Amino acid sequence: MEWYILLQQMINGLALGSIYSLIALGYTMVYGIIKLINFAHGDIYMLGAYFGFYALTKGGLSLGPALLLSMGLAALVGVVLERIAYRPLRSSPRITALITAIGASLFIQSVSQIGFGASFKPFPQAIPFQRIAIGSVFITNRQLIMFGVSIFLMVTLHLIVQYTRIGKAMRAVSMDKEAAMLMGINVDRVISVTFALGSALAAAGGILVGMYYNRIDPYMGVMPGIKGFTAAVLGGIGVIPGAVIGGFMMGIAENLVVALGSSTFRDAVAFAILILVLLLKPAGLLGKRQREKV
Amino acid sequence: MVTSKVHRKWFTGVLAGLLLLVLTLPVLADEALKVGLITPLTGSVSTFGISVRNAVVMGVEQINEAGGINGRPIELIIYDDKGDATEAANSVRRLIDRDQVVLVIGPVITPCVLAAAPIAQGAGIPLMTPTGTGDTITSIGDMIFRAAYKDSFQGETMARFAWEKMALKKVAVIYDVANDYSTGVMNAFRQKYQELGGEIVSLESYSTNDNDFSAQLTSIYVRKPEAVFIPDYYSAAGPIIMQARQLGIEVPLLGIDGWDSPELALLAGGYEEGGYFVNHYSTDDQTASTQAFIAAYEAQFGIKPDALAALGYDGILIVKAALEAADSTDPEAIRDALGTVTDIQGATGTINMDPEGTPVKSVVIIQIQNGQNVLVDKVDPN
Repeated sequence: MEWYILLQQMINGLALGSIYSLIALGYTMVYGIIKLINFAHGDIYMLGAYFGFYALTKGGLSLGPALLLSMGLAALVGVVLERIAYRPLRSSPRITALITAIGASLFIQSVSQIGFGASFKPFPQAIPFQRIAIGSVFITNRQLIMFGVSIFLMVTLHLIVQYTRIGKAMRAVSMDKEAAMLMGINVDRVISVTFALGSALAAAGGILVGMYYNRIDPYMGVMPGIKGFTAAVLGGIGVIPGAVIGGFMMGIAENLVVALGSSTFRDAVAFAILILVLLLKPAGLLGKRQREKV
Repeated sequence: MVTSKVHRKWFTGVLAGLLLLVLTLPVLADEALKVGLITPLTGSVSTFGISVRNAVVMGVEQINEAGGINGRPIELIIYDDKGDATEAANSVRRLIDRDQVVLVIGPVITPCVLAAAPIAQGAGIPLMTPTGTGDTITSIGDMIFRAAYKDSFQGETMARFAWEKMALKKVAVIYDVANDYSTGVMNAFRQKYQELGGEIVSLESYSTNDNDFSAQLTSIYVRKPEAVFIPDYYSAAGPIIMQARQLGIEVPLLGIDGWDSPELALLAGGYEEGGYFVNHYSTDDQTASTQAFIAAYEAQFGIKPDALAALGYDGILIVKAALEAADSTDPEAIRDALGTVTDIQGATGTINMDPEGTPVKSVVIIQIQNGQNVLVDKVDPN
């Protein structure tokens, strides 16, 4: 295989990987704070795509405002979900919350199927398509937008977590919830903000993907949700830079597998990575091995 | 306490008996003929299902207005299978066990037919899929019939068209490895095209519900084919067409009957323009029965019927002819009639049924020109 084909596949992989990163961030932040795998996260991503769809078609908004509106609505859904489904179970065993998350995921899918219809919907083409040639490889303006918006959101998230009061509170809660509470941090509020941020990022991913692939459906969140989760585990669950790296690695791995081998293994590679990580480096690439607290 | 329990049991028994009697009364009274219809009204192939439903309902209304089948009206019972094989299997069971239909029309897509047909065959109830094209459908048993052509026939027709009419020497194919329909057409196309002397320069696959085709299309792009063949339903073909064009694949795109949907243009974002596909009929066909169907359908639903609607209508016409000829609800009499009715003037032309289960009729090649489906070639069966 010539080098430029490999490069082309890498570009395709980076575009896809940026979406996995956005989803993985939500998983990782929620896990970092309340040790919950929020399986409904992929469905928030799907809801984001639908909110964007309606903002663009019914609302007549342009891409930027539609993106912000959809992120806002998804953040609200995330907060409400946490309030009614997860908060009452916070002192229950972790398995209870996990099962609730799976239930919430199925609930959102079914309600969406009723509300939005089960058919594929063509996504409005908010920006005219352009292909940019760099030597013998191509980048589309949609890939650039996907990549650019994702990176921008990740940097913003980093700044929020590292340099704001609420970010500091988030880090404190993630380190030790009880101690943070004793220091006067409103843990409930911090958890709500975490869900809001994660959901907003997933919604952005949903819109970008809807635009890139031109079709959305109520089950579009299932596979990306699982892959985002895998990306979070790969990078080290609970570690924010790990989620970003994991997402990009997943995207590239998937494209290379399809390019070099067979597309039949596209989804298999995600799970193969998950199994390998759990076997060889359970804490993930950037995760620190923690001793179980007694 | 014991006596009251026995008493209650006895009472329930009488009630159940009465209920059973009431339920069987309509059948004894020589009332409507119950016919089931299984079609995807929601899900990823919903436009197919809605077209078939419209056409079958219109056909049944016409039959009933004209006095029914030898004096008995048809009662149509419709179930939505969502394009899902499990739902299709459940629906056919419900139609046979609970609704006690004399015949089942549908399901619409091949994977659903492959799930439902063995159940109908096992129960000994005739099943007529108006649109199922998978080669193996009719070999499931003697109770299974269809109104459409076979996948191998459409694959071979496209191979012949690409080689002879378009003079293409090397073609790339991208198909759904998890779908019998897509894989079946791909195999028939590949075999025929290579037999004719053509070269398949790239054979790429994906799985149902994949969204991202950029890796496969990049592989196709670098092999520089003269055309790309995309044998799948509109829900996958649309995004593939768009991603192919956006990646810089500018050669002609070829497809099959699954492309025939108003949704294709939306999902392909206008890039489907100029594409060719094999189909069951064309609205340009000037045959009297075809034009009569188009006029009736347009008057009732306000849109031009696609091929799925035409096949749905043919399905109910074949069923009507068979039920009239059999003049009984005996499944074996209906089966024998389904395999032997001939000279039906249907929406897709003159239909002659074959005991093997597939009608003998011509196919067309359509080109999408300015958003319209234009007839470019008509191929007779040989």
